[in-house]
Amino acid sequence: MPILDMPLDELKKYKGTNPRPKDFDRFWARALAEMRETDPEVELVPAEFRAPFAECFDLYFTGVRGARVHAQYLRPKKAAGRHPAVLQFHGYTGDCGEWWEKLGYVAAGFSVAALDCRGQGGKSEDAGGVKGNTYKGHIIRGLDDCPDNLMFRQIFLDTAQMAGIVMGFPEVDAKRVGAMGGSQGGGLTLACAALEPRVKRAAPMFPFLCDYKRVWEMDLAKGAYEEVRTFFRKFDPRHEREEEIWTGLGYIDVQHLASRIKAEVMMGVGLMDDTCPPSTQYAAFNKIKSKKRTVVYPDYEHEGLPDFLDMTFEFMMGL
Amino acid sequence: MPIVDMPIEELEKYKGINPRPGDFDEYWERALREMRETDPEVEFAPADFHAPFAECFDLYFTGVRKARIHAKYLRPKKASGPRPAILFFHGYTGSSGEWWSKLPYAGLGFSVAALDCRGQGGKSEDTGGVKGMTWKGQLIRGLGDSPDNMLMRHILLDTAQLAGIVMGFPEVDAKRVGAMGGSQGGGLTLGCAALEPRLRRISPVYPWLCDYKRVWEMDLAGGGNAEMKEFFRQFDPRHEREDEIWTRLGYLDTQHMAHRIKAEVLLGVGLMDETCPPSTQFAVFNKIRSKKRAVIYPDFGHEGLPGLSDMQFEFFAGM
Repeated sequence: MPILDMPLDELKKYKGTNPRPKDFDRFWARALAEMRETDPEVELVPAEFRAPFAECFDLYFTGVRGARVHAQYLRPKKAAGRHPAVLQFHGYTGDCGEWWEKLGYVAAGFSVAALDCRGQGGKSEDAGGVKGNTYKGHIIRGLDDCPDNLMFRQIFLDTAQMAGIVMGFPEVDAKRVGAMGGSQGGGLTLACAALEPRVKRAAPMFPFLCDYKRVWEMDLAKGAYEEVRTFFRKFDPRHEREEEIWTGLGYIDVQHLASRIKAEVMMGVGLMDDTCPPSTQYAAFNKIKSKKRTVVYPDYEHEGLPDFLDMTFEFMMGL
Repeated sequence: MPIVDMPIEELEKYKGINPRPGDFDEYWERALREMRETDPEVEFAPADFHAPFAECFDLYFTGVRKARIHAKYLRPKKASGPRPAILFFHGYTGSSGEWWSKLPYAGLGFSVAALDCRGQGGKSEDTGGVKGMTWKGQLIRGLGDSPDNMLMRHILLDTAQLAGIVMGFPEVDAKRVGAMGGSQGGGLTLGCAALEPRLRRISPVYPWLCDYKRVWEMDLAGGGNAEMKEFFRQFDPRHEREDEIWTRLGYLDTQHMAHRIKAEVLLGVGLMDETCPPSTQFAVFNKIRSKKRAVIYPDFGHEGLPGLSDMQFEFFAGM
């Protein structure tokens, strides 16, 4: 069969390559403490978009480091009592997308919150203040600064903070909240479920942000992961600091958070994915201890996986 | 400004160059008669997909030339009295797609029908029986046979037949039926509204199936148009029969039926579109006599047009 990565039976046993920092747990404990000490100043502004059966809002909250973060928030008009919710996370450089595509969940009686990632294509602020390269790339943003200043640390916290805010809404049943997204959205789905373990169901599709060193070793730091290679070329061309750099990236490597996930997980994978190679996705998946399964597409790359969003819808209906 | 086609002022006046056959109207009268004489033998089978607020079916009917045609059909559970409906048409080689993307409209209380085009990526049959090249390409299928045997004619009839079937359902208000789709789906949306003028609102996005000769003259015979170039190279390499061939394609050119459209039209266009060049789209649009509006994206090609799906949702919600 055509193959890009390891054979499937090896993928299922693969333990990941990117190192885990020794103080990984303390790093994230400190991060979550900073998040909890931040006053979110939540604001719900009625959106321009209208649907007869949904209330649509631009949701704003203050995340760590003073950044004003935006999400779309929709809730069903005729809701009697608390109902489930779905959190949605978008792909790298993108935004939370359009309103219409959330409406299927709202019509089924769900609230939906769709995050804009700081400083990407939507309305969330990146408060900056990071040393080192700022021209391009959020994975390497802060990599030459102290690890607490890594950009994706703040974005991971935004996902958990948004989850907590939504769970705290009077109309939402905090015990019935799911998370979903593809690529960066898949990585953020896993990070959110790890940092907010009350999330009950997670449906990541070809997750990004896992096993950075493996991507580079496969010589696939070319597409979405290209900035990892560029960082080395610019700031450590002879790889004299490589162990330190991979370990620095390890703080924001989703595989190292995966063991905290309590949600039931359904992950979509294309085996010909040369943007987020399958082994990097399995590095994270294999560390999940809760109920989980993969949905495998042998001929597919980093692209729409047919029927996966239908399966995700039915999966979330079980919340 | 970057440009691939005429400037916008010229687009707004462009009259199209693909010839219109002298017997165009008789051709389509004959076709519609054949459609009306076909016993559709409509059948519903409960689908594998389930949503809490809509019943989901695989709908089958018999179209012209004995082809068994499939469409996805969703019917809202809580409907009191006849409700609006919307028809979806898909892009070339594709299929009716996933169920979840129809749910926002079902959430509005609309019935939704999404056609699979004969012999493409879904479940509808192409019964064949056509002379000439059949290896690849449905635009040119039957171009070497009698014009009544062109495959795209049958597909255009399928759209009108589906519309009529849906309009005839007891749960549907036949005066409030809309249609939408992109690329081939956009062309089929326009064709459907012309052949079934009871349609109330339509939203074609960068429509295909228009002004074929113009595409060739722009030397943009890529995408779905590559087969026109191949047809000439194989069957008329010195273009000795070119007028006859363009005229024959003229039977399938939606610009020549556009004046029949009574629906209100919301057209989406990317000005950098090199697959369905803007001028070909305006060739159709400019001939529409009903209420109409073009939504323009100067920097976009044949790709997702941000915000347009939300505009479409609000447009159809007003039906």
